[in-house]
Amino acid sequence: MPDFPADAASIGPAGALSPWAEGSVYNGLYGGGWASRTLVANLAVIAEVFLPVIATLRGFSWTNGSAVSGNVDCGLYDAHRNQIAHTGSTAQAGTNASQAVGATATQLNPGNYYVAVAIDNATGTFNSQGSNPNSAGTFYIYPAFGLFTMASAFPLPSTLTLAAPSAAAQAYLPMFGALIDTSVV
Amino acid sequence: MPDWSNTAVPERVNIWTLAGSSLQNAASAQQPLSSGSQNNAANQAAYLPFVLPWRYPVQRVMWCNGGLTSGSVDVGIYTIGGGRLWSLGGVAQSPTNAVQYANAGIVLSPGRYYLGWAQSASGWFAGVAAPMGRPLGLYTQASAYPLPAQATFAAWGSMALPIVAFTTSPSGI
Repeated sequence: MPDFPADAASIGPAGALSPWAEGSVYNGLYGGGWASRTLVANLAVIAEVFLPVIATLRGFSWTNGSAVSGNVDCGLYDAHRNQIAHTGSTAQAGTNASQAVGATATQLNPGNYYVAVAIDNATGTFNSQGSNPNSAGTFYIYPAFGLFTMASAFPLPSTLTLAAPSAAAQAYLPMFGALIDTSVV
Repeated sequence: MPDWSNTAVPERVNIWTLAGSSLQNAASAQQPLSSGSQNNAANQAAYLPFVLPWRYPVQRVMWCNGGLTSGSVDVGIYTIGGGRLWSLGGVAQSPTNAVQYANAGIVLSPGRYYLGWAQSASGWFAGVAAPMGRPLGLYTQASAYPLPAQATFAAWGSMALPIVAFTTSPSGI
């Protein structure tokens, strides 16, 4: 029998590349529970995610809150922060519902990836976790958990430049991810 | 030889969120992150268990300084039996309210380890108070700066838990 662990980190995610699907989110960064929250207009929310197996990219999804407005862009980037695919500017539609956009099937090799989401206004909402109510002055720690932002990033750029959030509203983490299929490669 | 690829690993792993580590649930249950900064007594080592499912090249370690830095920080990696595999040896804690990085340069095999943490003074760090550390297998040691070659594990008291992460990246955020 091989002497190696077969825990969740080795087996990898099923269904989605998302900070929420990895079990890697430290809940203590957040507070206030899941709620409809606006993001900062044109600010990309970025999460570093790890894929230990070969998978096929199928699309992107996020969960809208109680108000929708304008356009959303959701994308996937490789370990060098170069864009693999994105939805492009997509009208945010359907309150209190998940919205999905298909993508050209693309093989994803094991490795590090970044998923990003941005919206072009501060009216449309996502089902999100709010930032830690004690977080004043502690936003700098988010990169230690693989969570980043990028300003002026709508539509999502071809290459990401990672930064730490610098205000509470920048530190919200919505429900979003890249949809993957690990059953057929 | 097992038929699987083991070349890809996460660029960044945080011992608070590693699957299988007792800190994963303990730290996550500490909701929310403590207000302000934490600190521990000078020269008091903390030993934090973690589990690596991959062979992992640790290029750098990182931790999160609080609003007041002081003295130096030592970080080490220990076997489950307390033998030191690597330690930083101590670097000045700087700057305040920022992630601080230090070069490591050790390759860890899959397995169970303790991360050692000690400071020469009581500088502050972002973290949580961790009175629950004892049943989770956290240990401490007095007069342990710089981190010793052989850890002598003592019962965890009312210490604070620093945020520490590793990365395969030699530079950058």
